[in-house]
Amino acid sequence: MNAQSKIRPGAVFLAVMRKEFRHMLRDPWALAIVTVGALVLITLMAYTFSIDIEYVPMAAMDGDRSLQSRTYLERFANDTFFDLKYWARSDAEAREWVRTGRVRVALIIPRGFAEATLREEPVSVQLIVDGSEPNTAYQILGNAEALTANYTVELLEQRLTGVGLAPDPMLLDFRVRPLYNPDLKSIHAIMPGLMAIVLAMPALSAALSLAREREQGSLEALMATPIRHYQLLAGKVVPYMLVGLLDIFLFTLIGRAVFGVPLRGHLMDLILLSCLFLFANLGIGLLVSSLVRSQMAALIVAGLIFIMPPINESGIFYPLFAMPQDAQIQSMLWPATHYVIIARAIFLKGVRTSTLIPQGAFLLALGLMLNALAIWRLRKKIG
Amino acid sequence: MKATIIRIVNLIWKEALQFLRHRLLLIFVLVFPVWNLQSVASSVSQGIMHIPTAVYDQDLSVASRELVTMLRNSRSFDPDYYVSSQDELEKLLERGTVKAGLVIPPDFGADLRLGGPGASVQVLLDGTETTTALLAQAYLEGAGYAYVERRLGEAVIEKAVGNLEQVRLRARVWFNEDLRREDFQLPAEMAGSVAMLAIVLSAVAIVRERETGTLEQLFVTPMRPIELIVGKSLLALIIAYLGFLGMLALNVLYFEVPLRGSLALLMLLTAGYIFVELGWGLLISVIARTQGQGLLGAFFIVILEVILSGQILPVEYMPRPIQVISYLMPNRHYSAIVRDIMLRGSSLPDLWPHVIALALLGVALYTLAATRLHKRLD
Repeated sequence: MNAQSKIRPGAVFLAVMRKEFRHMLRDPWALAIVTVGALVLITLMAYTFSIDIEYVPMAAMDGDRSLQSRTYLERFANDTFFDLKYWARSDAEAREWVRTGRVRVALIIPRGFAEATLREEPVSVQLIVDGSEPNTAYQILGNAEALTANYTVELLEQRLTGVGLAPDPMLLDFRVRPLYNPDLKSIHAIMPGLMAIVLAMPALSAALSLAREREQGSLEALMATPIRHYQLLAGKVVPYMLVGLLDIFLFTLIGRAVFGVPLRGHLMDLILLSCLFLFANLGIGLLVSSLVRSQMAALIVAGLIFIMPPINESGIFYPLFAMPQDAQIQSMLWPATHYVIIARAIFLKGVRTSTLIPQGAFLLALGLMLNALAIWRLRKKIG
Repeated sequence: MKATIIRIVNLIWKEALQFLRHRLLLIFVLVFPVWNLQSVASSVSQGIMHIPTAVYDQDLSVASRELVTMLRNSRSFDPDYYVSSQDELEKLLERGTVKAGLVIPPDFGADLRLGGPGASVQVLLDGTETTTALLAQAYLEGAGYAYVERRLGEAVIEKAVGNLEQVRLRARVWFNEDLRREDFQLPAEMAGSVAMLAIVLSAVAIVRERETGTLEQLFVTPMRPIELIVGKSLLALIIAYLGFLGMLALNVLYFEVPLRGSLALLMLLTAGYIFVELGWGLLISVIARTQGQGLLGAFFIVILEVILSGQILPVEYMPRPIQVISYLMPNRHYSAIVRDIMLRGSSLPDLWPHVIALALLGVALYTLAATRLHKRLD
């Protein structure tokens, strides 16, 4: 106790931090994976998801071969969502193409299509959709329905004009104006979101560092010195937080330079709230390391926690509000969910920290709790 | 030969005992993916979007109320917030409380009469949720037409010029009739978890022994390097395969994901897939000098595999260069195999391109790993 009181806590913390930096620099390849690797990863991901679904391979079977059926099919041919490039000679052929995956959707027009429209009778066309990728299937259904409704409206209009009643073509017009991202470029929404996944790298590497010290027994040696547990952990947290901040700078630059993602908010807000996120993520990593016995176990456990929930339930790829209530509550437990909200708001909406207080407070509370738990675990195990 | 087998079996036994000491890891690996699968399974309400919406109704007429009701009934929008100024609306959007705002102009009801000038409604969407915004945009376009169709239909009936419905689209969805997201997502998750297990377990196989100095000890025993690698890989194969069986059982029995194709074929190809995936792990293991490098490298590969597997975005819509990279990822082929066998009921003739790709990848990865290993051990 006496020995401890003679050393200034700040000096101890700095010494531990210096030690941690040396460890980091001694393994430049591991450091490279956390920085350059993270950069490669986010660039690849951003590039991959910057594309909207278009040119879905489509087949048509025109059983009528009339002017009317061609007019209807032209709507599909002219739409960039569909790539109408296969013409089947029979229903069976069209179905076989869907089954084997050659096309994702097939439209079958029956014989008598033109006759029915001329006689002003309803006529059914068949659409066969490959549902094995539900997201694409939804979009196929929506687009096909819109094109068909559009065609029907035109037929009705023609008929009304024929009896001398010419209505306004668009009685009810929805003027859609997307805010914050006027061209609805998905990359603008995805890039800030992806940061939440890739910022797991520094936390993982801190977790591995703690697990390595436990594996090699050097942690026990450190515990025998007058260094306090919280100083030891703080000395571990801060260097990796700095690496994380470096990552954030690089991501922001790449986002701006390569993908044209603007940073509308203030850099200081981004840094402040990112620190809170990194703090919570590091808490997860260190707590996991304090619970398991090896670096390998730490990586598998922390890795699954850092990959699965952010992809499935953080709102990066699937909107949160579309989930049922209990899934939404579960998703709110993960720091990534809050960071996705924060990053999008700062990058695209340009809001200040004051608007994001609920998210920031949650991250801070979670970080404090997880890190405290990690310290408590270490003390119990070794102390 | 017999001595070799005995040595390998002994090694597997020793490693299995070591692995069993990681009780927490074992529990976690079995429980976490299932728990996470549960959350995926429960978030299925796609299509029905329930976008939180604010309404700024300047008209307050029967027509404007009808419009709001129409949107609510569509279940695409949840117009739960009413505001009395444009400012208030934008504040709600900025805070993220609502993702859409509806501005109904003062003369909405009057302009909407048949023969009138037509009315326009402004819809503000939160562009940070692009997927939602795009779907909402498509829906509104359809809703506009549907509204016109209904009004025109009334006129058509009035004037008796024919039938209201013209071209009816009879859509049939194959392989996943109800478009359940979990039928697609769960098999993909399973493929990802198996990849994680296989790569990480084998990535540290050699480098851990090297780091703790036990590699030299092993080399003074009669055990040859190749036996060491075979033994280590077999154990990883067994653990990853057991994980696969557990997850498959859960998928099919508990989450009721259909298994339309042959179970035997799926089990066989999975064994082959894990074997290829171990190649990645071994390659990492012989390149890495520390466990930290090996594990971070393994994590890097696993994320890449999950991202490029087509689980989030189908591979065919990815940019060309990314598609090329995705072919180097065993998981991309395996995800397709799993999905095709389970949902489409495909058999071997449909799957052969993926099977051949996996085989080629396996040969390439093992050759690379073996040449690197020779260099390191010499």
